[in-house]
Amino acid sequence: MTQAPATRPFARIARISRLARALTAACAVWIVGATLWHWAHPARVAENAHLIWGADFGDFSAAQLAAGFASALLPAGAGLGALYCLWRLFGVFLSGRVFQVEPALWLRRAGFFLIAAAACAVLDNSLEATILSLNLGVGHRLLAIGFPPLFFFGLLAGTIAIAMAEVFIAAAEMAEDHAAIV
Amino acid sequence: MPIIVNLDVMLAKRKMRSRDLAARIGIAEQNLSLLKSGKVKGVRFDTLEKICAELDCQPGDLLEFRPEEPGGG
Repeated sequence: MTQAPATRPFARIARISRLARALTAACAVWIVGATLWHWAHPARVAENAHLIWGADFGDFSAAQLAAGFASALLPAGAGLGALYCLWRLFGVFLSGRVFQVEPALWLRRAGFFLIAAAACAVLDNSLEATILSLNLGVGHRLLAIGFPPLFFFGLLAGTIAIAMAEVFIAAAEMAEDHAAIV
Repeated sequence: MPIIVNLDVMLAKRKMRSRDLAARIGIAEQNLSLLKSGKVKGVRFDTLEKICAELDCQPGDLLEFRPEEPGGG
């Protein structure tokens, strides 16, 4: 049996929304898991730091690891914020409210969180370099400003999300006007 | 709003119920009710044409322009 033309696009949107929500949840688990897994092993932190900044950091103190972990929570937190907004966005789509302002607002919030995550990633990069090199002697400590590979992607994705949200808001207002014409 | 919808007057003249008109022209009774009360932003020519055909009237019998008095609510 074929579905009525009016309900077919919504069924497709619902299917995609379910998939997007599952991916969002998986991504959130991955962010939390990867951050914990990385910072739970000092040898891995040292290896990674050596790869990024090319210095031999030696052994880290517990305070350095705690501070580094706190710094890593900044982009992770912003990323989780973006994922939460996307989760809510697709939840609204799942409930059948598509051409409305509410999902557009969630998309816009997701965009702001993505940009914040990109900015926090740069800040985290600098903070980690400083924190992890504190145990080195004077003259060997690092003050790094680097742009992680996903920085520009995050910035672009966030900007696109905000722009699309503005388009959706305009579309929602047009749909509202259209609904008021009999 | 200075555009007054006189659909209820025409329905009374033709002794027709809103429900019957809605069914004949194929729009929801709720939408017809909104149109009757003037709580819509517009009317499609298509809808207007069907109403005029069913009620045997002109668009001018259904819609009236009544300018708002300056300073009046």
